[in-house]
Amino acid sequence: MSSQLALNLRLRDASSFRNFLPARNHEALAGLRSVCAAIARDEPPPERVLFLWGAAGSGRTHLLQAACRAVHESGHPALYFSATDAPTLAPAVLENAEQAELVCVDDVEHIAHLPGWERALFALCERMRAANHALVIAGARAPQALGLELADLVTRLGWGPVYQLEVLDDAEKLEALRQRARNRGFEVSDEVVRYVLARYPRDMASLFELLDRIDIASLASKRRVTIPFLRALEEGARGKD
Amino acid sequence: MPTEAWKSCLEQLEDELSAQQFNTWIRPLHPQLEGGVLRLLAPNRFVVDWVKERFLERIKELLAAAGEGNITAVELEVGTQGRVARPEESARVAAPRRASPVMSIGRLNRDFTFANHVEGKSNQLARAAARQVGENPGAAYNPLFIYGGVGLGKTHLMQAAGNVILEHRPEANIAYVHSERFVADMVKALQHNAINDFKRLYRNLDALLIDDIQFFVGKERSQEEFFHTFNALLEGQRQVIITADRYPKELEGIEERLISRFGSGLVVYIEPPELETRVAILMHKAKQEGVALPEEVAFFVAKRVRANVRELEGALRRIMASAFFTGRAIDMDLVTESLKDLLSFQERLVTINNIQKTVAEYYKIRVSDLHAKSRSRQVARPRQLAMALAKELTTHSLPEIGDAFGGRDHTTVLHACRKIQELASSDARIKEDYGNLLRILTT
Repeated sequence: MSSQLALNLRLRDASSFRNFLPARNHEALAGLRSVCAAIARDEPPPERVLFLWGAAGSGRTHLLQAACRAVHESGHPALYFSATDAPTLAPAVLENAEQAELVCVDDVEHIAHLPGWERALFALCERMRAANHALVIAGARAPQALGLELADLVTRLGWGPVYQLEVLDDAEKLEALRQRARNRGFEVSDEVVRYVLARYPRDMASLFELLDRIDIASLASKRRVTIPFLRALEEGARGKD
Repeated sequence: MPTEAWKSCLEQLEDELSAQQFNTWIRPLHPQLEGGVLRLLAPNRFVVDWVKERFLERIKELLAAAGEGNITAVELEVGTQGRVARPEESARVAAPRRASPVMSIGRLNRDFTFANHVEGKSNQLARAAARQVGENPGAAYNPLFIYGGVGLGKTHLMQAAGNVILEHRPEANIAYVHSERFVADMVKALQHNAINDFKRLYRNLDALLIDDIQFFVGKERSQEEFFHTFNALLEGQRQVIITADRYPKELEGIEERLISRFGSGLVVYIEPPELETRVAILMHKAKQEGVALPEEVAFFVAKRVRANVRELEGALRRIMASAFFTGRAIDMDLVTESLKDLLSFQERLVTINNIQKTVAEYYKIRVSDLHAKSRSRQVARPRQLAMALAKELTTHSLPEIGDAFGGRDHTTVLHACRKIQELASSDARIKEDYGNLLRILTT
């Protein structure tokens, strides 16, 4: 019950451009924002296809979801799809997707060797181009290295600018975690962040998830986030196991 | 016009669902309130069913809790935001005769003209044939079959021919359609009992441009329908232009009678562009965008991005974006920085070792044969080819290449490069082998 209450008290902090720490990825961010800004102004997008790739935790999903949010908030239709869902869905989910002025396809490497999906994405590329709408694709590797079988699809993914997203280094992670905590309405000291970076999985998705848990626990127990508090949290988690 | 209740419902769902679920299924729904009924429009039936099954009950609960009594019912439907998708500004609908609301015909893109197509040795013949067809549709070469690897400009040439036809006869009824789309539209027509409309739509054309026919492989019903359309058009002396990624006879999974029809007009091949053409393409595209691209930069990029024109264009767009966002001039520093991931990928891909391995596999000889002293034709020719490929695809010097081939002199490498260049224009076999190996190594 208390944790449910805590959930309702949390500040909203879903992915947006505002809470993305650009670090060395400012060009990719600028490219993506310029696409969204053009759509908001009812202008044709400066790029009809944009490809982002990088290791897990480099911010691909954050950027794609932020772009959808920005376009949606400007009153234009946007669509997000993660290819991790592909094996459990049918390619028909992409039908008419080109009506959206922005379509973001995440984790695209997951459609490699799924011929029906590769063709469906290829067909969507063609329809998006004909509609002059923007397609943003993200994957773990560059288009040629995704293991896609359909060469026609590979070349279409690389038809526009391709950006490699750099994973944040420790100083940047520290900044990102502090910024995220601040957005959630609490402060974490450098000391706490270093403690976390040294002891937990270090990719940003895991780190943000951890921050979420810390936020909920600190709200529920009304305690400040300190190293003893984290230790108590760990103890508690072990106790549950 | 999103209602307040819908807005608060969205906020609540964003908290309750994973970001992936929310962004995939909920955010794209477009609300329309009409006389107490909140209609949520989704892009297709699949999304409607999915949302209905998993989220609709919760949506209703949240809307009720939001307390706006004026919503009496919630319905999910396929539909759009009411914003009409903007067609490409430069595109023009080629006098479509709309046969049914489910059907529309593909249009030509006015940007694809001969004036903005870059001619080179690799596409000379195909370009001349396309121009002829544009000037004399239905008479010169019918059908015209253009084939070649991905991203080499087949679509551009085919549409340029269509645009020339339109210039002479603006009322001509011309369709450009990708084979994937042809198949999808036909399936839709069958589902809507509109196959006769579909047939009429295609058989009334003055010219049909059908792209990437290899997408018909294994689609028997579509092949059947296409065969009849094709015959009807040809009999009426209407022009048909087809593209494919391979030679007609290599289209396995396509009926023999279609293949022999494809080859009954003129079959032309587009090769990957050679260095000079790649440079010209980059310069041309930069000029179109109003960007000054130093020749040195164009050569640098063209030497490294060889596989196809789309990647070349992608590299250029990345460079232009970097220059724009950083406010820097386009020079070698900017280019090496903005393309560093692309370049390191290409370089990792093509090493002398990799070339030797690929060539040995291709000719079914051993890599050690390429290093050995033997001068028998069986290994000497592959060795020369491998040396020429190393010169073309890597940045290694002639002495380095010589070293990598069993410590040969750099003049031997130079001789090999010249020999292969000479044979490529006189010996069709060597030309084909070289082209195949180049393709294997770079795509």
